Amino acid sequence: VKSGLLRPAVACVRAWTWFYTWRMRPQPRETRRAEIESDLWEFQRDAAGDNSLGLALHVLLRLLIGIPNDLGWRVEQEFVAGRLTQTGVVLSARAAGAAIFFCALLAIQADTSGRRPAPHHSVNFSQPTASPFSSPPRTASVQTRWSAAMTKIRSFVPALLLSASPVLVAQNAAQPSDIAVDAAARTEVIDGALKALNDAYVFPDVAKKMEEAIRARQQRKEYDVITSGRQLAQILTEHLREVSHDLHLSVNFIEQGPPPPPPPSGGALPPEERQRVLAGRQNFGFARVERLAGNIGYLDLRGFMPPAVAGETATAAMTFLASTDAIIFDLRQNGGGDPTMVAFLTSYVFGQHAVHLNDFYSRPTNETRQSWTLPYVPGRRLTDKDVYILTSSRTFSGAEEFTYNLKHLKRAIVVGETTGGGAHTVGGRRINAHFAIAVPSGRPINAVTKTNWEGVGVEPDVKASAENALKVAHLMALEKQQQTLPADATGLRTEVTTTTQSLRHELGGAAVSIPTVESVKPVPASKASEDFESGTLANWRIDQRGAGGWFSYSNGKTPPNAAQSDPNFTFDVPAPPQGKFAAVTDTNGPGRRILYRDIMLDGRYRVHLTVFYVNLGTFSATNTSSRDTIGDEQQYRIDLVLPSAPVASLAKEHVLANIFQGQPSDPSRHQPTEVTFDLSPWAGQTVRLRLACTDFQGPLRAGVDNIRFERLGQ
Amino acid sequence: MRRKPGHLVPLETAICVCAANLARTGITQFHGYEIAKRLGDASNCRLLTAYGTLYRALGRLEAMGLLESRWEDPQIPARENRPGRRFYVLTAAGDIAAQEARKAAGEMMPAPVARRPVPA
Repeated sequence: VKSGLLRPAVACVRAWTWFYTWRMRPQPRETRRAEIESDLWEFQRDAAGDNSLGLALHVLLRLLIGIPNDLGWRVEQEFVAGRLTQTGVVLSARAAGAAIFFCALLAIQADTSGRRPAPHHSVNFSQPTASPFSSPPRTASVQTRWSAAMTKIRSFVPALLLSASPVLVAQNAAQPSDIAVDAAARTEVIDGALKALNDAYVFPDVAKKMEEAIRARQQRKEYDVITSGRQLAQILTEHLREVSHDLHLSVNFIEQGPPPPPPPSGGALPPEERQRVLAGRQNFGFARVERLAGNIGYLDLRGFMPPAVAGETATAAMTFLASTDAIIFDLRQNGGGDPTMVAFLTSYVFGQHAVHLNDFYSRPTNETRQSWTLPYVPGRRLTDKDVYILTSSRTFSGAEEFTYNLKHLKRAIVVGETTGGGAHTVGGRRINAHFAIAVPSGRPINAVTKTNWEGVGVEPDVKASAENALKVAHLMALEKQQQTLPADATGLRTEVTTTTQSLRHELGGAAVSIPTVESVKPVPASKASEDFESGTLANWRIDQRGAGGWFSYSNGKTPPNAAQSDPNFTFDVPAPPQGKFAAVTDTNGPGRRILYRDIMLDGRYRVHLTVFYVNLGTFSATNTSSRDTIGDEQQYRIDLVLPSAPVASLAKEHVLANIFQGQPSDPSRHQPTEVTFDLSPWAGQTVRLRLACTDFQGPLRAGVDNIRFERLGQ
Repeated sequence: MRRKPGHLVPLETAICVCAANLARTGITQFHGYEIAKRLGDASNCRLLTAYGTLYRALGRLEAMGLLESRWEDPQIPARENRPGRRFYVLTAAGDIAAQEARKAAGEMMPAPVARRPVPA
């Protein structure tokens, strides 16, 4: 099938197909290229002998009209592969521009010369299956009348390649090793992978579905064309993930590395020592620990290595941060690791009272292990500091566990992007000398949500691009800092103010949408009633200084946390007045404990609270407070305050109304009593309900239950 | 074109109908160029469907389960010295989609079209 003008047109189609499938996953790439090749061949054969100019234009038109769909298809494929990047879009756009340029050149040439090149002239822009760099486009044999246009093309092609892909050049420079696989090897790998999945994949039914899909593809001989070991591993991984959507699942090709170095004198290292050496080269993931301006702590953590090897470094980092006023955990480049390290680090931001994090179910052992925070950690805890966690779409696995736990325990504010969405625990299994499979064989069940983040990721509380996340969190921490700084910290206040200004300036428009820490997610009053029957205070925020805290309790004679209960003042409070649970403060030393929640009054409401306390000190008179904040003396008070106000403020402009307050002459024991307050003056506004207990005169246990928002008629 | 999931664009409907008509004449499988030609014949349009449009539509129909595809035995093209063909087959779901499209078009069966011979 020879037709002078048709050939360059066909070459255009090939070149374009080669361009827009460039850097794709091999399977759809080869399929598309082969399919276009077939179409071109059939067309030429069908058209043998027809008018060549008309045919060439026909082919070019078919090419040009289809370009938007080619690009759309490519973008879809990238989404399917889960690796759509801006670079990909830019590459596609460049390729589109290049193709239009080609076609324009050729169309001009075809139009003006009308003469045919000699038959031996070959225009071969690429070999469809070759990698773009191992075999550069060949245009050298083009001569004579085509030379003007072709010279332009020749000079253009390498320029385009170089400008588009410095990364590719770099990748290509280091040729990874590979092996050839034949039918027997393919079968061995496929069978081995499927057996491992059926034996251990966390959901047996999904394992079955994966097997069915792979077997069907095998029957359709889809794997018969694969001769590269690396490619086989990659394609099997894609096909298995297509069914399971499990990003922890992968079939891996194992390079035969150089032989291990001879053991140093004294023999080979024991496994733990070896792990210590290897992980130590990454400093156990602790990339950076820093005091940011305004005395905000910052930890850039790239992985969670087992505490057995990384514990010392972790403790050093936490100790370094212990005197800062808030902590930012940067997990934007953290791909996960060991759940025990997650629990270890989490322990630092809680008190000695153990907190239940997750239950880890493992299918191979049919065992469920609980994960709790530790009653003791070396160094100092960061219990009373605000915590921010930075996330990106690459935050994965163990890093997501850390984020998910603290988010749902209301212990951290998550700033950044939705995380990658991998919750399963993984065990590696060897298939043979060259292949292994990572089998997700366990799943966590979170203590608060009773589920996990597999496939969905962890949603940030405050959305920000990964790039901006640190600035946003830093700004949020500084704004909180501004409200809570003691009056004498003048130097620090200046630092906070100037940094706040410069961060706002750097963030520009992005700074506008940042919520203040205190006003994250107000809840509508229609959903704000609280009987505490969940057994947690998860709906509330707690601010505390000094000892003790707010707790959920069910038995008036048993302290909710013995370690935080004064043994000289036996815990003896009224039983929960309603249901099985209520909230109460307990302590083994003086302190300030504030329980609060922001409520959107979506109509006219009246609030009912059942209030009680046991007080060994004497309540302060309202007007003796030396400063405009709760903190001194002895108080149990419930206020309605502005959500934007500092959490402990008693300033007139911040406190909308006082709902309840213990008075100096009140008895030491106040039995559960309902307090009612009309909120209709604030209808349509967001207000903060604040329950504050301070006991600097003598132990005070303050309680509340059955908070109801009653909607009033119009 | 903004698409609703499960909704067929006109080209996809046309492919299903065309494939169903072919099946009635005993041709149960077709390759990309062939269906482009049949579509051109059916609509009296000499310009064949563009590459990108055609193969994206075929891919979508396959993803929706209306078509299935397989590559022909590699020995055949090797013997005939030509590129291998990817053959598409209309599935039962695809046949239903074609019937519905016909109903929507007013119960009219398109008349069999005069065919140019297609290279086998």
